[in-house]
Amino acid sequence: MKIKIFLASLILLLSNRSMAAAATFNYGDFDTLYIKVMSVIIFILILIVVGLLYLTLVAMKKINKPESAQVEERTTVEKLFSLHSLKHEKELMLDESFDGIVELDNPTPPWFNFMFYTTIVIAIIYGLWYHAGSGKLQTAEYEDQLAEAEVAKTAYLKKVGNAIDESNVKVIADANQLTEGKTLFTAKCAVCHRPDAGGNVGPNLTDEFWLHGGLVSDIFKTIKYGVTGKGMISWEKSLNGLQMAELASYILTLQGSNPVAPKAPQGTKMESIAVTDSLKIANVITDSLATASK
Amino acid sequence: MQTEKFQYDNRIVRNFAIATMVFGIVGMLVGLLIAIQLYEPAANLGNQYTSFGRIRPLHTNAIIFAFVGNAVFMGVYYSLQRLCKARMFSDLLSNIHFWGWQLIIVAAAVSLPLGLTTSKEYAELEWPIDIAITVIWVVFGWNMFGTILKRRERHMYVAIWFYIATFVTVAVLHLVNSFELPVSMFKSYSWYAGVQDALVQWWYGHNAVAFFLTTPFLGMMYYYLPKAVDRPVYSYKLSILHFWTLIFLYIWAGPHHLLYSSLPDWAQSLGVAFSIMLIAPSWGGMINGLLTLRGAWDKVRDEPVLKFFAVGVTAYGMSTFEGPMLSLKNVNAIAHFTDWIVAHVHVGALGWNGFMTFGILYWLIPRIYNTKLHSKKMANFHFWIGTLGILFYTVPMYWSGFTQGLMWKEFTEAGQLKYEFLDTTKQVLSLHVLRSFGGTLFLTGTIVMVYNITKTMLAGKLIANENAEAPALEKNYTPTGHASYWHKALERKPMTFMVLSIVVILIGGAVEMLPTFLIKTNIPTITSVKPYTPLELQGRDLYIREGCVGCHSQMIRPFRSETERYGEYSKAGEYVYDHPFLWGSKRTGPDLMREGGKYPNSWHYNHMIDPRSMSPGSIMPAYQWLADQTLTISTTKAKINAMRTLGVPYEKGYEEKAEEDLKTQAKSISDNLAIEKIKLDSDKELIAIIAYLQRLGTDIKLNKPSTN
Repeated sequence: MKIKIFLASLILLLSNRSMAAAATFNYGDFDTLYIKVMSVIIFILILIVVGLLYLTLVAMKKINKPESAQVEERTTVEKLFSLHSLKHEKELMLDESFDGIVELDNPTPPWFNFMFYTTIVIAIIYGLWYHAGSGKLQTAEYEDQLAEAEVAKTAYLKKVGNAIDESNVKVIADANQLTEGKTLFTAKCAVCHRPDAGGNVGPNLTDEFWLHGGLVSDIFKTIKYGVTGKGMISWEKSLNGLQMAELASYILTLQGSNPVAPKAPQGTKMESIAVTDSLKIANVITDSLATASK
Repeated sequence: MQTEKFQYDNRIVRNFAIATMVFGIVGMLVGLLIAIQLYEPAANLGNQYTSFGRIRPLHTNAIIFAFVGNAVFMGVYYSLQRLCKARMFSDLLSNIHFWGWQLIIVAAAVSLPLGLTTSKEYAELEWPIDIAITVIWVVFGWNMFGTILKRRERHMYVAIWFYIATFVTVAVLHLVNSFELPVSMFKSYSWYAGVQDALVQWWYGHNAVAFFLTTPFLGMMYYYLPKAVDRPVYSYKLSILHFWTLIFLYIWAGPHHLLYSSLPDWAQSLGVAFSIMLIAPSWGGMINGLLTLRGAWDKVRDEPVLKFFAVGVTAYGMSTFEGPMLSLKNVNAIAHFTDWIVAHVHVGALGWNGFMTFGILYWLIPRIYNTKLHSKKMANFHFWIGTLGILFYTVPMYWSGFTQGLMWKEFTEAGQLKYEFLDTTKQVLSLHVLRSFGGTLFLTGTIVMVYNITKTMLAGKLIANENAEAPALEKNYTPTGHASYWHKALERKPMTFMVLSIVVILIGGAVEMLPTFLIKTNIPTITSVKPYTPLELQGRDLYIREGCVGCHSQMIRPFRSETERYGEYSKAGEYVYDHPFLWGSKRTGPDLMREGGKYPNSWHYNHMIDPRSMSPGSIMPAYQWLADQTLTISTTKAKINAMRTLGVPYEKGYEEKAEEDLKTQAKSISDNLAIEKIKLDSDKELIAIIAYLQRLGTDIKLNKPSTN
């Protein structure tokens, strides 16, 4: 009995602390009076509820127990689940029936009560852990995730060597890599730019007109960051530097190809640069693609 | 005391039974149709009235309110009369209740495909129907309490406690959550906005499950299970304990639907804590049910009714254990928005509600028709094919849920998202095929049952008025013996019992809602967040009409995997003008919180006309009708005014200018599309949807979204 009282008061104490903690830890400066009032109300409520629960359990204990049940023989399963033997059922029947339904005066099984108390304790610990202990709430947890990812990324870059970005990207002429670029183009870009890059939702990529620059580094940048508001989405979260370089290089090989139904030119003509860039590799590519296809 | 003669009304029970069966078939058929649409979008028949977004709410409403609802009324009307030893209080009220409820269902079946919806889950019906529901619910309560008050049984049996709790709580839930401001005959805006709307909605949604799908069935279990097995109920005391703790604790758990959302942390934690404490009270019901079967398992083997009950009660135990587990933050982080939740609710709906209903139908119909069940063999077949159906439904959905949850979160070594959203969609398609197979099995079983029951009805003759007799209650009563137990006093006082249960269920909701509404710091304001333009507002209402929220969330949770995919996580202050909130609860498609500015208008146009042209492999339905239909702009003024009443700061007199602004913005989008050689007149609905989509999440844009 003492243990029960101790447990009950512990629950009371903890729960109040949890609520108050929940209130204080979460906000910076705000109406503390309101929170205090709410805490007191919640405390009283929990006091009442746990008190009632406790009284209920005590009251239930007092209900008449069949005398013979004290000496009954029970199977292991019955003992395990604190069940009375079916032989004594008649003595447990309550003296009232509802449309023929009779209820038994079995106590709530102790393991059931144990389960209930345990979940209450777990619930309180759970609340305390997050609002008064070292458990992290969602924003802190998120910051941690970002920090961890940053560490992992640095370690990865260290392992694989310098990553390709807009400052160091070079035109790629390797046939296999360009084929890789073509595959990426078909998978990611073709829906908006058409498979032959003649333009659809996005602009024609085969002409000399560029909205955001026609140098390999410009194209790389456009792919990487996208153009917010213009509908070009950013790919840096799903393509890596090498893939974007392959893609940008492949796009440059398309200069001067003749797509079916090309979209009208958009942007500035960048003849000198783009053509130089693309012509420089055009020959190499034609050769290497031919080799690759054999 | 003299014995009084009276008659039980079986006709009303029979009527509700027929409605249960008819709407069960309808609801399951609609479910099957939308399940097929999830791998074969063309199954929407290219028709707006049968498109996923509009008929998914039809499925849920038909199952919850038509199938399960009618089953509850059937079960209550039969058992309540016998437990009270009295005929229903008024035949007129019974009939008003029956026909009123069926009319509401018909109204739902017409209005939901038409796109008339509030978009709040399981409360989609528009305001005139909400009022009708209130009236009919009061009729039901009136009839029930009238019967209880004229009972010839001294004490209210445990089943009646559950019926009372059901009545009062559903009334409170419905009234509070349906607080809405009508704009026109069939359109209203939720009184609450954003975070508050979400909190109220999930307090409602969670407890609709608790008090519409759970407590009435627990009550019915306490009547039909001991009747069918002819055994005493295991423990009276356990029923007291689990009844009061269940109704008290359940109310608090709603916020577990909003974990990692913009809901304040303290409210989320309360939701989790109370969900954990719910395990034992829920299991109290299962334990009392299963232990009542103790000593009669041989009967369970032979009797299909008992088989249905045994599996139903077990399914209840499983889903009420799973629920608290899903409420744990680390589990929820994976399971939320995935098919896992769909699997979870179907264990409850198919197993608990479905099987209990079937068991009751098989038990009750032969009794009121004074005959034997047409075929026990068929009932056994129904049991096995139903069980198989549940397995074939839930196992693939659990699998699909894990797959989605894990794929969404997976990064490559280089720190990039491993899968695009579309990859995850394609990955689970075969599992969705299996799921619809499971659904077909379950539906087949139900059809067999309807045949079996119909044959039974035809073979027998309805005892419309069943003779009964019982002595009236003596005026002077002194409780002796067991009747002097403290709880027995409550069982003699229905009104006190009702008031007490209202108090018990009000506490949790009040503690969670009042601070969220009253303390400003719970929803920090963001100055850059502005009201929607008139065109965006109209577009938002189309988004609601088409049920986009059924597949697309607008809630980016603070996880790296989500901010990398969708952009900066959602802030409470971003939703302050959202009446209603549109956070969603399922991601069949990607989150749209920061869709604005991501793609050009032409992309959206192409995507809406033919989703697969822009997202090959997508399962989104095409919305060609949006390009054909003209936007109704005459409602603009009323909508601006209504929003202002709800606290959205449109300047005084803006409603006069709104229509003009709408046209200007629409023209700019139409012109922009024209540059891309797309001809779409500025008065089309699609223009408004594009305007809304392009606005989404652009008020704050801290972190660039990536591809999805």
